[in-house]
Amino acid sequence: MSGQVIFDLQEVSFTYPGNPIPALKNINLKIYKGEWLALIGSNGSGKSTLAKLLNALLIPSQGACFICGLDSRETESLWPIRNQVAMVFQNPDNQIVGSVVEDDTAFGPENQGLPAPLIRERVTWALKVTGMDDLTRKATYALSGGQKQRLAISGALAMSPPTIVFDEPTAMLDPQARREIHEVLEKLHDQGMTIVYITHRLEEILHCDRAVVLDDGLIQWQGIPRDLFSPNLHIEKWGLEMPSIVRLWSILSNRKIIDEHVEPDQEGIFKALCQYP
Amino acid sequence: MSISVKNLTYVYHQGTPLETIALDDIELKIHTASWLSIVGHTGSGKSTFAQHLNALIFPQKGEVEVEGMKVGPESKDLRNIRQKVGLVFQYPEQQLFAETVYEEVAFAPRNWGVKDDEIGERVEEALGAVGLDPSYYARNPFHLSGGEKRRVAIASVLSARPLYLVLDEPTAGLDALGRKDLLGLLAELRETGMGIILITHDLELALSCSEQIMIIEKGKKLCCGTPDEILVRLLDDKVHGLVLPETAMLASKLVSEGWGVPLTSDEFILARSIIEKVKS
Repeated sequence: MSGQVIFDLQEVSFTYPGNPIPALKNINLKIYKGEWLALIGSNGSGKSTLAKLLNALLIPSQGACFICGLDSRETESLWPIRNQVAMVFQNPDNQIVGSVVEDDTAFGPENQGLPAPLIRERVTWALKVTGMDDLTRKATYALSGGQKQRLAISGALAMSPPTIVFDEPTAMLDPQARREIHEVLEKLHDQGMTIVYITHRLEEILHCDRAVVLDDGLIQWQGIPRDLFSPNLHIEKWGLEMPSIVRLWSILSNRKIIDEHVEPDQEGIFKALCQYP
Repeated sequence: MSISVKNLTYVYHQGTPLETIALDDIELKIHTASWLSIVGHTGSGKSTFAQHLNALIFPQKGEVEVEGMKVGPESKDLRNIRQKVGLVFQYPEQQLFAETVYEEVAFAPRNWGVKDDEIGERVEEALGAVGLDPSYYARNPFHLSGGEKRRVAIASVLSARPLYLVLDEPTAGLDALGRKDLLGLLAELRETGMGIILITHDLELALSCSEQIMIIEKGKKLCCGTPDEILVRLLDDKVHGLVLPETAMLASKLVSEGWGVPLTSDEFILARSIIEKVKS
C-alpha cells in the first residue's frame, strides 16, 4: 500500500463510559486515499465504534486518530474533519430529514453554507450517481428501503466529501436493494473516493481492496478479501461465516477440481468448470 | 391441529386513492410440528399475512381459522387465538420495556391471568428454551447484547405457551453466530411440536431451514412447496426482488450445460456431485 494516508489510527483504545471493558484496544491502522476498505466483525466486535472514531463522533480514550492530517482530539479540527468524512448508517429511516428527495439531499450542503447554484449542482450530481435522478420530486416517505438508503448516500455525497464511511448500510435491506447499493459503491470507488465499508456479510467484500477483521476490540487479521476465504484461516473463531458459494469454491479448489486463482463466485466457478470436456 | 386460511384478501385504504391490495385470495394450511417459511419481496404482503394469524388484523374477505376458532371482529376467542399464536415482530428487542429479564418474560402470562405460582414456572421454561440461565433473571434487558435481547424478546412470547410461533425477519441484524443460534433454537422448538412460521425476504435462509415454503408476490400466493420444489420453480420463473442463492444459480447453469448435477442450494451436495462428474 502506498499513497496519501487519509486515516491514521495510532495505538487507539476506546472505552465507553460506565463499561469496564474497552471496545477497542490498541488499534493501529492506516487507510489510504482511493482505497475501498472492508471492516468486518461479528456483533460487538468494535467495528461501529471504530467507524465513529473515523469522523470524530467519538474521540479515542487513548492514542490518537489523525484524519487527513487533523488530530480528532482538537476541538477546532471537528468541523473540517466532518467535511472530509461523511457517514451512512444502517437504518435509512433515521437519516432522512427532508420530505422531498431533492430537499433532503440539499440538507448537507445547505448546512455547509454553500451558495445556491453550487448546492443545486451538487444535488443534481449526487442524485445522478445514486441513480435517484428520476425521483427528485418524490416524497421521501414513499420510497422503498433501497431508495431511502440511496437517498442517504446522496445526502452524504452532496457534501462532496473525499471519504465516506458506511456502517452496515445494507443490513436492513432486501437482496435487490443490497445490489443497488453495491452498484453505487462500485461507481464511487471508480471515481477515486475513499470508502470504509463495515459489514458482517462476507459476500459483500469481494470487490474491496483490503479487508480488516475486528474481534474483541482487536485487529485480528488484514489482507486482500479473497485470502480471508482460505480454509486454514478458520474465520469461525471470529464469529464470521463463509458464504455458501465460497465454501463450494473452497471444497473444489482443495480437491484440485478448480484452480485456486479462480474467483470464488458463481461466474468464476462456472467458467472454470466449463473447461472440462 | 392447524391454522386454515381460505380466500384471504386484504386491501389497505379501501376506496381511497391510496388503495393497495396487500393480500389477494390466499389459501393455506399451517400445521403444528412443522416449519413453514413465507418468502416475498418488501411490500409483497407477507407481514400483513402474519398479522392475520394472531388476529391483529381481521380478514376483509375470506377466512382465517386458528384451531377451529374464527379470526374476526365477532369472535369471542380472540384472547385464546392470540395466546395460541405468538407473534415476534421485526427487531423485537425494540419492544423490551421491563427493568429485569424476569419481569419482561413474566409480563405476558401475568397479562393472561396466569396464577402467581405458575408464572415462575413459565418464565423458567421460556428462558430455558432460549438458552438463558437463571443468572440472567435479575439483569437489565437493556444491558444485554443484541443477540441476547432478541432471545429475551422471544422468551417473552414463549411464556404464553403458544402452539405456533410467527417470526417476522427474526435474523435481521444478527451476525453469523447469532443467526445460527437463533435458527437452532427455532429448530428445537419445532421438534417440541411447535409450528414455526418464518417470514423473510431471504430465500437462501428459507431454503436451508424450512419444510414448506410459500412464495408471495404482490399479495398473491405464487407457489407453495418443499424447498426443492420451490427452487426448481424459481429457476424457471424469476420472481421480482427474490435473489436465488448463488450456489443454486451455479447448479442451474451447470444443468443447462448438460452436467446432470442436482438443482440444490446446498454447497456440499453440489460439490460432491461436481467431483463425481469430473472424476468419471
